[in-house]
Amino acid sequence: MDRRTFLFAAAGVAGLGAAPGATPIPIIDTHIHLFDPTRPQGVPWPEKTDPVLYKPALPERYRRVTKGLGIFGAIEVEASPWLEDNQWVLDVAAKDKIIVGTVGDLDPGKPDFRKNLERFQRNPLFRGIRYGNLWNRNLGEQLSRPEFISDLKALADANLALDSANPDLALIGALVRLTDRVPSLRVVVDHLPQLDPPTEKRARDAYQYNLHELGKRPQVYVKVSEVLRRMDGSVPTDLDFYKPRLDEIWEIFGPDRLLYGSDWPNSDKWGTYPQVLSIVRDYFTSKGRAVAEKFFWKNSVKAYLWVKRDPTQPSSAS
Amino acid sequence: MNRREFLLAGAGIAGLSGLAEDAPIIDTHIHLYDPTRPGGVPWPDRSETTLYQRTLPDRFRSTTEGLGIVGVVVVECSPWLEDNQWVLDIAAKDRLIVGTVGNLAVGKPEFGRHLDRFHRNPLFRGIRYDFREQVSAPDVISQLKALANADLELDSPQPDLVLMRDLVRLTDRIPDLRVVIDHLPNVELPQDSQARRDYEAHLRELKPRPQVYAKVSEILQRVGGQVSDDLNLYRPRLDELWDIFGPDRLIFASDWPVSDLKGPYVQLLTVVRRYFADRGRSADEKFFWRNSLAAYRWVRRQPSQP
Repeated sequence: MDRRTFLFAAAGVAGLGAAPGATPIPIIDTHIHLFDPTRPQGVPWPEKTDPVLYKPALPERYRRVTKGLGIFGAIEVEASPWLEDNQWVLDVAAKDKIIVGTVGDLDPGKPDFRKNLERFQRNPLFRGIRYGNLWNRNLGEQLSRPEFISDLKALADANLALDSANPDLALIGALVRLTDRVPSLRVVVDHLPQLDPPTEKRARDAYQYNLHELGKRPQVYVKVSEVLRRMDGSVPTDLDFYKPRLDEIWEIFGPDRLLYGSDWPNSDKWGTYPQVLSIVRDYFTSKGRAVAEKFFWKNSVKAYLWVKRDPTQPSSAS
Repeated sequence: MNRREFLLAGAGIAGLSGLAEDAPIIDTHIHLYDPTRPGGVPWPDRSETTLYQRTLPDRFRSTTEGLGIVGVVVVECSPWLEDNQWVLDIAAKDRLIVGTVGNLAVGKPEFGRHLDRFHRNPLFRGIRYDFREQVSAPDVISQLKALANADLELDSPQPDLVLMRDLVRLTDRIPDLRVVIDHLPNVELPQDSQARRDYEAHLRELKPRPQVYAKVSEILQRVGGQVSDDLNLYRPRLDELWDIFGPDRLIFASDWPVSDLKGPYVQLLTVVRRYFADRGRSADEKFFWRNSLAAYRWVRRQPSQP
């Protein structure tokens, strides 16, 4: 147990809002993955050789890992390009109300996209798709294809969101182009803290400009996920180390556009779930309760229009 | 001595053989200005002694005599509105000039009025405008659409990563605007590997866009303090450009008199002459005049012009 986990435990904090008498802020974790390597057909990810990740990641384990931390709901983000895994996740979600939404994997620009979109959007838990530097895809290279653009317009028309990972300079630029072309599409930039900004001044300026462009577009959200980083073989757990990067993102996107996401169980590669949570918890609670509420659940309602399935889950009306 | 022999002799190069008569040449990028006129000039700076002198068609003629240049497009070098007229007035009196690329303030409310005014002169073929970090502005987009609707083209500033990125976005938004990238051989390439990949991705995006042209200008480089006209030095960069823009979208341009800072006109011409001669007669003609006709719709003003 490190110092932070100790303090957490010692204070007996369930969820957030450590001030005596304050109601804890409920948390919706907008980025977890579910998969089961033991199922008959296996999984395309993670690799068998990955001892940390290659084991069942199902709601039950997620509940156990996050017990006492105030997580009231989670959005599952695709971890497989297999079409039927969209259904597999929805089937798992149907049986566990902690899942308030799923971000699936469909291939815009392919002839069967509309048919597949039509099929999965019927399930109200299906809240969007992910497309980016994943599964040998390249968003930027697709943007000149009219059928790709029109499929993403269809996604926007269905009131669904597009998640994109894993960010680099080119992906951020591609998202500027995409939102030029399809301004009605809600876009979520996954794992932005993990991006290494270019060090060369011109390239850094280009990156900064792209990020500020996205900052001006209210339909673009950013997941403050994959915050922890490995430095010289160890992962710092103090906020001071991460603060400059978080400040940069905060200054550009402000209180209404940042979302909490853990990237569990992928996050296990950097630290324990309480470690992952406490960095952003400390950062956002220091900005006041209203900001923390937005970060931990209210902004994700707007980005995903996720489904309240359980009375403990927050809703804007309450 | 014919023109080619002269050219090659001037550059100190043994002659080439087996070539038919040379293609006529339109130089699509020269500047004209007169520091001695009342009011002076906004550019070049007085301290720039190579450039700070009367630079008018006669000086261009004497510089390029015997090299086969039959026409030029004059590109703006002043943000003063009336300098658009000043260049057009010179062009009216000199048939060497087959077109001008002006400077109008894009994004300003008076843009439309100024465009109407200068567009009436058929020699006014486009504008040069630095659109970097401007393409999110609705006014900029609507005004550049008006430029495209007037069948005029857009010259870019000096290319770099940001220019290429915004050129992709601009041509996403206005696919019928013809754009000419100035001085592409002199591009400032990013060193950062992530940025370099991004830059290359932008070039691949531009590759299939037929309305985007590139000027093979500002090509000369110094090696050990000496300007080189060794084609082998330039070939890799030229091959890259050829791979992207192909036979129909590369355009000859000198950037004279700025080119004097790098080396003599005859040398810059020699390098591209030799490169395109190797590509065959048809590619040679396209590079030296046909592509620029497509990009600029320049005006044939005398019989020597193709």
